[in-house]
Amino acid sequence: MDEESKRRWDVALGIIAPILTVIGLLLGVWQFNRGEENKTRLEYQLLAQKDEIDFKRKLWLERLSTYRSIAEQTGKIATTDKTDKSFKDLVHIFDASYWGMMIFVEDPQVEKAMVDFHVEVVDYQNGRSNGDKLKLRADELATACRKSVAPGTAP
Amino acid sequence: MEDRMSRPFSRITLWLSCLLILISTVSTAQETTGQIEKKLAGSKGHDWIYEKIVMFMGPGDKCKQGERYRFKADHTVVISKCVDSKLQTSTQNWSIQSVDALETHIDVAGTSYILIFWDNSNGHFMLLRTKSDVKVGATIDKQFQLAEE
Repeated sequence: MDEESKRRWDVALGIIAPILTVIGLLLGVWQFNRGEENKTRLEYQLLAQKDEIDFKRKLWLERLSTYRSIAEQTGKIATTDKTDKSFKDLVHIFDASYWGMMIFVEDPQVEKAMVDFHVEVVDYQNGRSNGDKLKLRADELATACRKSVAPGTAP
Repeated sequence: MEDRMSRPFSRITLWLSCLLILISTVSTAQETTGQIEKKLAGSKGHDWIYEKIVMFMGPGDKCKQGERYRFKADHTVVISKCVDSKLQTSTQNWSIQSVDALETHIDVAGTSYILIFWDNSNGHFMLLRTKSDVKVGATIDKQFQLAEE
């Protein structure tokens, strides 16, 4: 290699080296930013998942509490004669749960059992049903509630 | 030795017991269906009034209102209904679909209903019901009274 070509190589490398350095720096910055973005996105996803699990857990606990309350109400209705003074009040409390809190927590099977119990109560009040049927409906509803919160259903 | 001999007998007894239980269960179920059929149609037929049929006085067979179902023991039902002042009559089929402690399902003219009977001081009543599985769905009741024969 003669002196002339050696000098040309030196000049060329003198130009290319800073360009490569700048490109390397830019790539590094871009990669860092990308990494940070991914990290932030993952953190958000984890937070969202945690929130969802927390919400489901709260809903499950709420469901458990509401089902327990509805089982108590239906039990009282099924064991109270329609001529008893308290019967109307008990039905009124049940109706409030029927159109209120239960809608928030019930699944389709429990909803069906609720409808069946509700219709049976109306029949019982109108002389079309009896206490035994009402007890069977209460049992059906409690079974549906128990299945709805069976082990493994909690998040 | 005695034990060996008594074993087949105990098996036979067990099988016979199972058979008896099965037969009695089936016959009880049939009896329940039979009782319901008897309640609905009697031995010849029962007239169930949804709305009393009122006919206009005078010539012709003009009606004012009314709807009546005559359930017969041969599993046919004659439905008489006043439509546009004329009494329309059609014959359809009916059958008991299922019976359990809570609900009896009946098929009338291809439509499934829940069948309910009850009595009070005003007479014998029957109800054909279509029930929704959801709260916002409607429960439709068609109430009939047994006509005095």
